[in-house]
Amino acid sequence: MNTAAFRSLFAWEWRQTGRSPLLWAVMLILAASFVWGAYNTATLHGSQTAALERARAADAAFDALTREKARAYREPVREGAGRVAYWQDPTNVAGYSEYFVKKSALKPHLPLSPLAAGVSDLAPSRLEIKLNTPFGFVDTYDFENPRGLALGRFDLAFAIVFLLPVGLLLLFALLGTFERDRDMLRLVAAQSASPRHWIAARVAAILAWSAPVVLISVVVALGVAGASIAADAAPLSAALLLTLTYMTFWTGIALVVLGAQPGAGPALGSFAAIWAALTIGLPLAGSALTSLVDPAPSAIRYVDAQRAVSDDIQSRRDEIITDAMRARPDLRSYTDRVTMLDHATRLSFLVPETERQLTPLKRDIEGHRRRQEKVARLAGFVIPPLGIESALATLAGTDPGRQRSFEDQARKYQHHLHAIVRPLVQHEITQPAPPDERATRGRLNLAQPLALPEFAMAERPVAERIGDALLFAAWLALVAGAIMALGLARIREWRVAQ
Amino acid sequence: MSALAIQSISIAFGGYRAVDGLSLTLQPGEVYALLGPNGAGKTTTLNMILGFVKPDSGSIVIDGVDAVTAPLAARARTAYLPETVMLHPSLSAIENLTYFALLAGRRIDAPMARQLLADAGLQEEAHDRRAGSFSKGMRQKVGVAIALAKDARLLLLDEPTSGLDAGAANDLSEVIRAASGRGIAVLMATHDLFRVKDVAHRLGILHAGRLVDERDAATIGPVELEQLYLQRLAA
Amino acid sequence: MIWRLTHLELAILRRDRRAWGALLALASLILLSFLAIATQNVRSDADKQAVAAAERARWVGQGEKDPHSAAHYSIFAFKPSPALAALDPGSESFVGQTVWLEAHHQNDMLYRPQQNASLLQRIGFAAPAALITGFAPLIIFLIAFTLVAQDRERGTMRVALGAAIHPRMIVGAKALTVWCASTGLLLLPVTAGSLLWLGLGGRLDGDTALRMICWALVMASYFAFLAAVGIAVSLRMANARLALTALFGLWIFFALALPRVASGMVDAARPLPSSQSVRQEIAEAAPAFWSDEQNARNRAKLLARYGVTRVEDIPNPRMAELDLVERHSHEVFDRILGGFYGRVAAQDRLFAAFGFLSPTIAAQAASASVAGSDFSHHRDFIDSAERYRRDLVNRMNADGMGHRAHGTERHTNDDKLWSQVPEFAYPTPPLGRFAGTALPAFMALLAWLAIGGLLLITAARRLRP
Repeated sequence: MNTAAFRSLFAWEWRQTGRSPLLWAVMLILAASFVWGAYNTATLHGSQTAALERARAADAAFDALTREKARAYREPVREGAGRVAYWQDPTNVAGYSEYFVKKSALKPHLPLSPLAAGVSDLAPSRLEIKLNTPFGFVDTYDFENPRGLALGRFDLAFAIVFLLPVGLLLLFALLGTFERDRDMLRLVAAQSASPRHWIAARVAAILAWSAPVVLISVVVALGVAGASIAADAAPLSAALLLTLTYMTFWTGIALVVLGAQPGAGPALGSFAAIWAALTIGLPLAGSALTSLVDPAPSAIRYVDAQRAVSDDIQSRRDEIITDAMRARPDLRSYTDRVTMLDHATRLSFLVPETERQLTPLKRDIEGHRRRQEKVARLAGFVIPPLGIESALATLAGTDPGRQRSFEDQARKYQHHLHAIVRPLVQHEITQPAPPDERATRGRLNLAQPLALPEFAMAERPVAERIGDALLFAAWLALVAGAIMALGLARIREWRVAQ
Repeated sequence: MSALAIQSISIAFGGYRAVDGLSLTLQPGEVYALLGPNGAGKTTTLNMILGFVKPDSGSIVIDGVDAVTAPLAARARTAYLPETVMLHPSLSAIENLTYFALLAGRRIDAPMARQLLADAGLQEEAHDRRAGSFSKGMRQKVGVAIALAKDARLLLLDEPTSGLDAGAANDLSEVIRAASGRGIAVLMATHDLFRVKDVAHRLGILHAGRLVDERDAATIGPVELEQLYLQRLAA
Repeated sequence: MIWRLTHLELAILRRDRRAWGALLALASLILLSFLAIATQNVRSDADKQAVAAAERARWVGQGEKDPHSAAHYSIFAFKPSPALAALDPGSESFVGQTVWLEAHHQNDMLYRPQQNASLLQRIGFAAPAALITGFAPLIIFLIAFTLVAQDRERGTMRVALGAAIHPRMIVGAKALTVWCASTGLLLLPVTAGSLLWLGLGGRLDGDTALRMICWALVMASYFAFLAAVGIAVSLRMANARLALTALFGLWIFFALALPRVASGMVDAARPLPSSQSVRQEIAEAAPAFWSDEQNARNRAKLLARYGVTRVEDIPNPRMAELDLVERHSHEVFDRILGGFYGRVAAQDRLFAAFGFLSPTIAAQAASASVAGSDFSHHRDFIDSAERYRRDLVNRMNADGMGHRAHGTERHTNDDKLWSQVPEFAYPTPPLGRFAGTALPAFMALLAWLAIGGLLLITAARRLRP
């Protein structure tokens, strides 16, 4: 069959496929699932964004209250309005540092976030930053119904990664096996078309209809979900390219299976087995294997270590602070004041020591997490559904990498706050002790609450995120091409003899 | 040049020799009936001619093209009508014909398709009807049209009259005669002894994969043919 | 007679490489997943026990100190994994495993096992129950298709119907075959393995055995429904392709799409407030650090409570204030956190009610409830730990209030008091105590079972040779 004949055959197949109610039923269901997935994720992210706004407002209100208190406590002591305790006093630099420095590190969603829920349902998008929390912030989370988490979210990525192949394979299996099941294949084979051309034309026709419909549906779904499509055209294009590549990957699988010219039953059976192996079997085996080879450090043991370190530090508290002060030229001569230090000032020495002692364990945990993420990234190249989900999450900004960057930045932000506030707190050690009876309600060793910088998350350039996704898309295209070539190469003869 | 030249083809499946040293030659316009009971090797022979299976030994040449080494080119010169013609039920007769012609690498327009269907004996009112509502005889006629559309040098018929009523079977005989008249060689595999006697020029009896007898159809009457057939099978 | 027929049908099934292979593959995955989770749980429970013992030792040995400082020191409570968690971990991977029982705070439970899971770990985390509820339908439908639709296509069904005295016998035998094969390979090995595992680990008490039986019954009922639907659809559809399409459609709809869709709909219908707003509400209603102005209000309340006019007349005003604030916080926690958890339970109830739309949802909700791994059971642990915390803090405060201390004076106590606080122990609630949340799921499962039976009977009645 020459090119022109193939083109004619393809055109015929394309027209006939377009008339198939099954095609449009599957496309409609897929489009609906895309819209629901994007909307569902947008709803989650909308509520998270609202929570971030509330946190921002709460921080501002807390700052305003702190300033108001600082003003009020400048007043002289009078009947019914006595001196305030240091932990209630924002004009006391030590009290301020521990009880009034409370900031939020917020991770805003990117415009294309409805594309994939990623880790956004599991990892916190707000971290409370206080000066004396070891390692930046408490390992907390935003509560989502655990049943829903265990089940997995119906997001657009789920629809693309899991449902789209099912829909496509259903089409390939039912539209590509019709002649076999209807006993027409001998008559088809008796014409002069090669099985390769015949199957290729049919499969190409299905892809030619489904690809544009799927891509348009993805755009519509994101539009319905309120994603700013025009503003984020580049990552959106990358997402569409990924989706298209993913479709060609499954088309390759279809070619391999349909090359054997099976009936619908065996074809669907094979497709279901391959689909289940790629989406469940391999991830399950991969996850079990990585857990076996590189088991996670026990969080429970970390609790134990935290308690043991805390006990140790409390038992050697003054000794640790004395050592720390001796190491500081500006504080060296004031070690006799160690026992008189307040809790907040003590913490400015003890928390670094807590961190120092827990660092090996923390490093183990972090190291394990990073290794696992790296393994998952690499596994994505072997298990396409995993890779595509990861790439979509990267484009959506809900990937573990961005979360990790957020946490790292939050930690750096805490360091930045340390650099501003701790010197002031520790400098107070060198100052003469306040009189027992002071005239004002507040201590007034901090004239005004500090104008501390707000956390602002620095983002990776969009081009980098797109680059990551395109790297995977290029790999997947290569794999898809190889599978297609393999599939086509295996179609040599009509299997109609018996 | 012969329309079909088969030289000593043999094929075995497992230890069973389905066709054993079969040789056969058909000249253009010749109608050859390959007779034999179920399992004699008739369909396997057709499968080898169509290139669906390769013979273990021997050669098959169709209109000068080696069907073993170039099955696609050979198939382009061959038309085939299976025992039961199944069509796309959602397509009309014309659409079905157009589709199969496309598979054969030919583009036919609607008037040509109508002419072919008419030549095959399908009533005009059925041309635009969906094939899902067709009887077996009507489907068979569309199958004949598909074969005619191919403009082949060799027509292979697999049990062509099986399940057809007398009228439809007669129509088919007419089509075969017409094809023969146009110089198309026809090889039909069948066990319908009486009808083939009317249309075939030569008859061959296949038993256990071997061609056990071959006669000129004009030289044998229906009763003798049946006796010969039973005799050969019993041997 | 029907058993002999079933025996023969099983032989046909065993000789179908594709169907039997698929069954074995899923059975292997289920066992692999069971072993992986069970091993992990054993390791994690051992850690929890060891650290809980260390915590107790630290509590008792914390030395002499102010009882309120002891209440702040307190302990970490650890949640043991439910006995059937290796079969159905339910919510377990996404709820915290430990909580610090500290004065003034009802802390969140921390360290969710999947908190920092990579994408591979999250996608690859498939428990036996999830594999069974999600993928058994596919396999069961495939087997039913193999036994019925292909039989019809080949014409062997016609021959069988012609020979049979009553078609019901054939239909019954086929349904029984599908059920026996799926139950025998997908359910029995993992149930037996779990019994063995629990027995060897010394965790197989009466309640656990009962839970195990109920779990197996839930899944067996689910399989029975699936077998009935698979057979009925394969019998009723015009041809094998339609039957296959319908069965695949049902699998996608029931098992793949609807559970997640329903979960999203539940979120939309009964949204939960964000953790941030819950924490903020608590912080405003019961601040852990109160301002000077709040101090003044607290003092006024204390004077009224003690019926005195001077703070000096209260034996230990500091502890009395701490106790006042603590008890106020209990009411706040009950109202805000209790309300929040109530909303989570309401979500779960609504999700279970979606079981009337999908048997997979019914099986999922019922399985987690029976396994003791749904949120209702987790809430029981939260409440139990919180009761313990309140008791501990109240005891400490009571001891402080019972001893006079003013100004910078501090009453202290030692291990005599600390050891009076009983060790934290979480008794696993008996089966059925928290079944209310999943009640709609159990009812739905029964309804699906009845529907399956009706479908089968109807299909058998309409069957003609």
